[in-house]
Amino acid sequence: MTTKTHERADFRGLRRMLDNILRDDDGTRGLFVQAMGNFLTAAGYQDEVLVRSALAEAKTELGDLLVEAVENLAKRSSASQAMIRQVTTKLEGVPIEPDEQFDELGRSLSSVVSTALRALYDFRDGEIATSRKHGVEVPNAAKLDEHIAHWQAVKANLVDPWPWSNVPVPLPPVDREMVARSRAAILAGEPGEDIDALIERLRSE
Amino acid sequence: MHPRSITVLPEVSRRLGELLADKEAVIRVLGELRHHLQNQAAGSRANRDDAQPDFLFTVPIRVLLRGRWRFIRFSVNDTTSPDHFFVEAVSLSD
Repeated sequence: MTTKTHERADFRGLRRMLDNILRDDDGTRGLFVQAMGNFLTAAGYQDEVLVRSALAEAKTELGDLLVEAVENLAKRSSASQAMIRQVTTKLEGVPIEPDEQFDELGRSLSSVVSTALRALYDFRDGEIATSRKHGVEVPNAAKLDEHIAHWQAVKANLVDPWPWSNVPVPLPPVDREMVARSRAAILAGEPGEDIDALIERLRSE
Repeated sequence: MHPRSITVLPEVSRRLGELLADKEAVIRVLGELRHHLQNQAAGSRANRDDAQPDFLFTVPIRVLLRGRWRFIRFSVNDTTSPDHFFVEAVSLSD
């Protein structure tokens, strides 16, 4: 990579940070099991009215637990998003010449994004969908969709087009009209600005 | 061998500023272009333009802009003058 040595060190730090995100776990399934335990205990009674009452209570409790689980998932997702922003802030506007070290950063980033998306998809399409089917309301469930949309955008803009060292760059087409105008300017004796002078001029502006 | 001077056509520098909309990014990208042309010219010049291979070669640069990977293509003329590289065009991926 042609970036400076201190920037290489930053990339290693960024990768360690991303790997740490993957080591975290959440206890949402434990909460779900606890709510189901309450429901089964209630169902053990033979009195139909009591069973219905216990079931309604278990559903409410399960809903509360799921709301809390959504909040926990959203909080973890937000924390991971903040980490990703730190990474992209470091990379923003810095020309990259990909190499193996930069590939490793891309792999770590890809793992963070796919792990976050999988956790959100699994919870939304698993616990939340099943609970809704049985009449359990989870008022804040839309937060999962918001976080999924965010991570999908990160995947589309940052991960999928990652500049891997072994993948050819998808270059834009040449602006042929600009070439023609520039060539005419050179031939007319208006060749432009030396690149050193141009960089210095921009720095001083 | 005396290194060629690198000349950026006015429309290219203007367009680059419009495309990147960030002066620091423009300076960094121009610095990277200069690095390519001063230190990797032989490799870069082998990457000839499809339509005008006798005049132009391509220098690709990858850069993250507003959280999205973009690919910049510079078209450089190495034929009109033996002492110059003329940067004649720039384009940016969608």
